[in-house]
Amino acid sequence: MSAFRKLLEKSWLVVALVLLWWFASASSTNVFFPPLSVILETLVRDLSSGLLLEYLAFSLTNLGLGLLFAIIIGIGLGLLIGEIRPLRDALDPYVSFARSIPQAALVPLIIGTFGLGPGPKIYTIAFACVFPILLNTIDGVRGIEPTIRRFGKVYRITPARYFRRVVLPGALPQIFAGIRVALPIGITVMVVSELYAANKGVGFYILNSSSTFQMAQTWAGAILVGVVGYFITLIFFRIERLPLRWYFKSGAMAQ
Amino acid sequence: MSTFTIPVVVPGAKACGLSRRARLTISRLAVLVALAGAWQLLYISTLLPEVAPDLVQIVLALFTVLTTSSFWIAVGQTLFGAFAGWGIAAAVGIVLGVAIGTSGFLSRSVEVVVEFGRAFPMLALMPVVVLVIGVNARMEVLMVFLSCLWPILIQSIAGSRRQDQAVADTVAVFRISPFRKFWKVTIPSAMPLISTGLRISASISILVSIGVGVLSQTPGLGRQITMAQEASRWDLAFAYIIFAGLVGWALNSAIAAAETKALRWNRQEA
Amino acid sequence: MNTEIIANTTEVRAPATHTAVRVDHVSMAFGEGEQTNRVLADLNLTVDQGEFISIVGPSGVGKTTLLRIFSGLIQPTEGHVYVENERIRQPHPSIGVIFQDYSRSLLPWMTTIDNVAFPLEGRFGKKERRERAEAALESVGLGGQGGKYPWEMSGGMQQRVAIARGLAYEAKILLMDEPFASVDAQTRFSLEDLVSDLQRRLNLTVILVTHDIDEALYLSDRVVVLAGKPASVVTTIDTDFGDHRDQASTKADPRFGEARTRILELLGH
Repeated sequence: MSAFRKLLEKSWLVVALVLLWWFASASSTNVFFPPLSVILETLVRDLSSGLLLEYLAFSLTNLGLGLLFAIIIGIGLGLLIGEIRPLRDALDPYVSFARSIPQAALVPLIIGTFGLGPGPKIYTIAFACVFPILLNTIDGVRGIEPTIRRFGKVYRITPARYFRRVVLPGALPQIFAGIRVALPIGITVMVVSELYAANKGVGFYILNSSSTFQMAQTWAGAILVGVVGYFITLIFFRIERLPLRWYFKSGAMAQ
Repeated sequence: MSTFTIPVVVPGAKACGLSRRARLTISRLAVLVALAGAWQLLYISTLLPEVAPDLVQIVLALFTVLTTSSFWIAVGQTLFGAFAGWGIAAAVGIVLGVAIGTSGFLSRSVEVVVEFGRAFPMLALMPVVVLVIGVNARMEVLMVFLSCLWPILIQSIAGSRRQDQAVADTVAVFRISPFRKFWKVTIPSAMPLISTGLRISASISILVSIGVGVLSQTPGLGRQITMAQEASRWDLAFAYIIFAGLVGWALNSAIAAAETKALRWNRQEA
Repeated sequence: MNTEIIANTTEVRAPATHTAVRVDHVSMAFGEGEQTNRVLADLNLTVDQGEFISIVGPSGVGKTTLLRIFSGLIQPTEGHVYVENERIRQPHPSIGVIFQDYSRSLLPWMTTIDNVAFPLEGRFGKKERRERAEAALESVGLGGQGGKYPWEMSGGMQQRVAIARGLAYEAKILLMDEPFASVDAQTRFSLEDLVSDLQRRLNLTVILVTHDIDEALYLSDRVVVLAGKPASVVTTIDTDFGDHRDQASTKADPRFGEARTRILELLGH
């Protein structure tokens, strides 16, 4: 199949849906569903005025830092818990309980108490994202071939090197899978934390405009969040392929 | 088979001649005591915010909450919203997803839209939905549905796309009708991936249902937590969060158990 | 059934009624232009009803492709295939296929008896389906074991289930693609004897693709040797070891050795 045909197949539906929205809403006088042209005008206006860009930067910084903490803590703890059996046994019920706590439940507690600043939002995002990464890291460590483990033992590789050169790369595919799960959760919690209470951020933009019935802004904010979320996911998939080349290649060969 | 682990000395693990089960229980209790002790220490050292409860208050709140009818009603409301939205998403997602997945052209066509739907934080649309529908259970179900649909859809498409050549040949040779093939071959062979989608979206359903409660004050656990926080009753908020966690945990375990049972055939491939 | 297809007998040279399968000037090529891979060239072959033939040849010669053409799974680029005098363009109801990859051609989410009864759905009621499936399992020596899942069984047993499925389907022509390639030698011998026995008892037509010359000679009435690139029939060897064969004495027959040597020479050994 030619590259052009592939592109066409992948994009026609998106184009059709956008066009449908555009024409169906073109003459809309409904307050809640303003014409798409108006929404996009508003989006461009607020982006070029710098307001929305500043909000977006605020939100994405929170997301990035929260995710970073979650990755560091999740991988670090996950490697330890996965590798040390007694620790895993002792912590198992608590880990599976903590990851069952609906992340949104913490929003009122943390943000309601610690205020509107970025700190509480970052903690909430970090807490929400840490569990998928932690659990996947544990699974990844446990899934390493026993032969590879025995090889490590036979050749008397030091623990530090063993962790860095055997356990970490062996668990990496699963770790990335965990981050992939964490990403949309992080974005959702980011939005929820700002919809709950904020004086900045894309969520604040959405909430503020809807409470003043500026529906074009509300839609513009929602579209922006969606598009940004989509591209973050897309970029992550690209990045993920670099360190995991061996995995995809060997996996492809096995099929 | 012995698995190699880094030699780590764990105090108490080897010394006593207790059974494995007893040692496990002891080590788990020890973790609980350590967590509780750490909290109490933080409390005494006044490192925690003013409103933070001490251990006794938390334990008391756990019991008091259980005796109030408002708690049980809230659990029911949250579960209803989550289940209804999830159930509708499952029915729509599986049928639509498998239908799309059996056609290469359709799968490629919807790829971007479906990926976009998954990456889109549906709660961002909530202010609009609230203005259109109002603050009620219907709105909550709709939000849960919109959030749960995508993972199920994606997994169903992926599951029905990977058709084994041997299975396809068998179906062709024995001239199995398309209808029968759909229900007895395509759906079951896609089931392992579909059930992953169902599992992912089940946790999403609880997350969104509580999130909607927190944000819009629809009745349910989310609202109870917000109210407790606003009344500076952290002990109650803690109790609610712990029970919210238990509800999520029970749901996850139930789904995992159902999955193991229904997909017994799939374990041999793993 | 399928009288529509039978009606299409305006073709010239309508074959005699006792012909089970006939391929007529069949050629097969994959790909187009520069990359064309010609696999089969101008192949002709007639298999009579109740006959057991084997197709042997070096690996990669196109044996499996030929079998897929017989089964109607793929269409030849040139030429026609007739099953019971009907030209086929899709799988024919008289044909059952035993795939090499038994573990994947049996559906793992169904019990053994459900697997065997599956092709009968829509043709018979539930009770009748079960009875027929059970009878088929009985005839391959797996009576009463229908409640197990295929993956709870050994490779040899799974292959018996696959054979039972073909029998329950009332296939008159069994196509077998290296059916015993992935079982151990002992199991292989007993499966060979099972197929041989069933073929005689039910007067089945069997077309067996194998790379094992001994197996081909032992089981068949006729061995078709395929070779060349693109492949065509190099020769056909009639075997005349009689109806009562057994693993030890038949293979010790001097004629068996001669036939084997001839085939090996044809294949360039």
